[in-house]
Amino acid sequence: MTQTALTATKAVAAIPTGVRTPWSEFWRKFRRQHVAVVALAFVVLLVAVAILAPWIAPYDAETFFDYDRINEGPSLAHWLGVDPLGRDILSRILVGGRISLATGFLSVAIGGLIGTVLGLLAGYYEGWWDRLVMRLSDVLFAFPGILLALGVVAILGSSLVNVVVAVSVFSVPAFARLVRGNTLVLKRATYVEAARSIGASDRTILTRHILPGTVSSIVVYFTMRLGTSIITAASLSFLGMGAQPPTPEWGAMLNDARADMVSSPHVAIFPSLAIFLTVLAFNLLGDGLRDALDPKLDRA
Amino acid sequence: MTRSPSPAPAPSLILPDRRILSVSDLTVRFTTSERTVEAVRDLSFHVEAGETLAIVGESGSGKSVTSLALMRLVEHGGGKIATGRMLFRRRSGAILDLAHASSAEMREMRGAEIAMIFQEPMTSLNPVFTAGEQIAESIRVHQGKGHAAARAEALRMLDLVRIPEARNVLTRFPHQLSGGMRQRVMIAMALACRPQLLIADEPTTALDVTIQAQILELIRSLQDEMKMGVVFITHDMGVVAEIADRVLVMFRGDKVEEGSAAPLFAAPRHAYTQALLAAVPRLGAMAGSDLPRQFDLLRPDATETPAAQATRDAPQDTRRPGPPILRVRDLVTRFDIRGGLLNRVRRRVHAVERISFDLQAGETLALVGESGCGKSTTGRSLLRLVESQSGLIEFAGENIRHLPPSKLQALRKNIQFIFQDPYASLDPRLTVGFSIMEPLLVHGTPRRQAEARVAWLLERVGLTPTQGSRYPHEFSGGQRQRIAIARALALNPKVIVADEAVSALDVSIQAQIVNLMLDLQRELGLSYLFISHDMAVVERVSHRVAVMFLGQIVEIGPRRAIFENPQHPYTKKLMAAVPVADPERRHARPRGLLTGEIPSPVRALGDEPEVAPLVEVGPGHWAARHVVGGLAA
Repeated sequence: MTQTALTATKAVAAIPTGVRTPWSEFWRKFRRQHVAVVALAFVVLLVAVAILAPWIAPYDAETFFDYDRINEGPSLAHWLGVDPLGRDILSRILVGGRISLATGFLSVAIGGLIGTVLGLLAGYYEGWWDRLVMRLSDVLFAFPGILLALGVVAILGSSLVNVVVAVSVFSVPAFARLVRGNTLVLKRATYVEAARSIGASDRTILTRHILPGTVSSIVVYFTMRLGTSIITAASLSFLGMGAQPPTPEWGAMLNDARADMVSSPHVAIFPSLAIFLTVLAFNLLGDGLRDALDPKLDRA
Repeated sequence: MTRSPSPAPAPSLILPDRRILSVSDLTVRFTTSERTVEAVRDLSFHVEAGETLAIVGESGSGKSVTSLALMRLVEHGGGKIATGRMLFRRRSGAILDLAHASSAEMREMRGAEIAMIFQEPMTSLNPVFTAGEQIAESIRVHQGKGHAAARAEALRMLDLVRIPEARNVLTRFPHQLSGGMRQRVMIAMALACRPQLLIADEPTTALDVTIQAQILELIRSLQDEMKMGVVFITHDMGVVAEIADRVLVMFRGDKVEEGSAAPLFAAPRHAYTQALLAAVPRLGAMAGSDLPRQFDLLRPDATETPAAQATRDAPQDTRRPGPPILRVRDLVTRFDIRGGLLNRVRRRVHAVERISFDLQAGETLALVGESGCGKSTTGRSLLRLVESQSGLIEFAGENIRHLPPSKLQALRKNIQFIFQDPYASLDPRLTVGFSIMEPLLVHGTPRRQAEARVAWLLERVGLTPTQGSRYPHEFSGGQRQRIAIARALALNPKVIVADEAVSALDVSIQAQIVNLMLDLQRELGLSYLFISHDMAVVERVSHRVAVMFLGQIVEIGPRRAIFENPQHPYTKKLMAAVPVADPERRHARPRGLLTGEIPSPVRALGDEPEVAPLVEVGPGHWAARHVVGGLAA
């Protein structure tokens, strides 16, 4: 063992340069996609605005009423105009971004986490467990997403928390399928068999070799799914099943705008634009991530 | 003599009488965003009618790029023919410079006048068309024949490439044919239009030796019949000796030597050719000796002391007496094939059928056989990577087959596995240092101690400790296999199962890895179960040899006895099929021994194969006397 100790000091001494880590490879490929970089910048801005909304919003989103300017268009005092109750639309969109991002992120995170665990176990162990998970997924897939969410909210009652629950329920099967498919492929990889041949436990194999291999597709899907979830959450609120007045949720704001849509379109346009740009940004970001992460697209 | 169709025949487009191809100063460049690589530099060679030119080299030598350049397919891969001329005599007699031919001219000639066979017959045949349709298509396109005529011609071609029951094969899809059959179909397609030049890019590399021998013989006799020129690209000097009239040796894009096959093999002039030939394992090189010996490498380590060199050259007797470390008795591993509406077991793959063998401490037992013979499944069964159905696997007195999962981990510490493809066996997302450390961590070694051992292991296999922080894709094939060996050694195992561990490597690298394995055996007293299809490598490394056929061991015994006095007909067939790296002995091989396909180990339920105990034919030398797959002694 003296020899071992000797070489160990040598190993610590020399730190190599220019190592191509998977992370630097990813960044190199991602940077080349300008649209995705712009989308990423937009998402970062969105998150920053959402966090800082209460401080940067010019008026209070819920308790400020300007009764003299009801339904008035954009002006210097109210950049995006005023809604039918006299509230400042810009402030409501900024604060509403918080709610939309939070519901979207939370619901996909919960759904993604549950789905990933179910998919990993189903793909790795197969057998009756796999059949059970996949049949349940098939059942959930058979419902249109929004209908399923409506059903859940109808049972649990309408509130933002229940919207999160509803949207995550219909994210679960999508993630479970994705992860199961990847697991089925990866568990046949030689390096997984090699890990088994050194005596690694199932848990080690799952967490160290299979999960990292599927993380890239999870991240991509997560990003794409955020957009869908934000739309679903907004739709539920639009139908009156989600955020309750006076909460400034984007979908709920569209609902408020319905009555005077023709005479004062700006009340509907700006929240719609917020939803549109957010979802578009997430989808473009997801596309960019996929191109940078998918080894099948570029193995240079 | 030249009837060039171009308006002003350039005076330089002239070829000597029998010459069909003349390449001069060919340079091919690949340009990426980061740099420009010259894959082939200033290459000149020529091919006469009825002649076979073999282009040999290791990976990265530019031999495949050369063939793609001839077909002008190199441009599809991002390459560019920078300089040079490739004069080709067309069927009409016109001389054409392939380097400057229009894409319409190339299309007209590809498949008709210049044909190509690729390495992997499965991926070069279209899976959705029948074999007959694919041959007929080429005939229709290039010869303008009608459907019926093209089909009749396709049948004639299949007969020509000696496919039994050709009429049935016409209507089969590629996945219904064996590898050898597919390669015959590929050859039939390539020859359908009677090309002047056939380019064969490693056409037998993916095939088993007995099938390889048949295909080589086929190409040779077809060439005699059709008088075409053949450019044969390969990395295997044995195959070169079998087929080539002249040889061109390439190294990193340059031609290093060119000449007629016989003198080149007898007296190679260039140092690289000498090294290449020295590294080729030759069947029979070990005749008259009982023990394994390292390969002679022509690039000796300057720092090596004479004493170290002497140990390297000496035969290695590493076997230790005592009870065998591993005992296998009547091991059976079968896989179910399910099908039908109720997903019931329809048929079974009889991968391993009641095999028995012992492995002594410090001994190398080679398991040889062709694809599907069950040699890999045997290795995997030992580590319980696949579950076997019955039998006994005893390691150090304990039956592995009934170990509870808790004890299995300890077992896997003692028996380690080296896989064929080192790249696939290393997790691409982990540094190689971590991959080597992983077995230690799994078995509870403290991190600091594990890191120290990784550094030692990396040095032991000929790498530097600092390379541990790199990722698998940054290493060459040989280095990756060294890493895989380091990983297998991490836990100080007693037995290493090496499954085709050197088969995917270039010969010179292969020799280095074999030497490394022999060094490690001498120093650490390892026992190897060396699974391989390559008889020449097996002869080098093993103390004893077991020949597997259709899941059974048909012959087992001391290596010398097996190689010098094979008893079972399958062993004889296997030996006869090995290409010999000596052009003089080309026609010495017994003909007619090599016919037929490798039978399938898949059987219907209840259709048990005949298994009987082996019969002792010499000291420690046992052979099967019952019928296995139609072969009986």
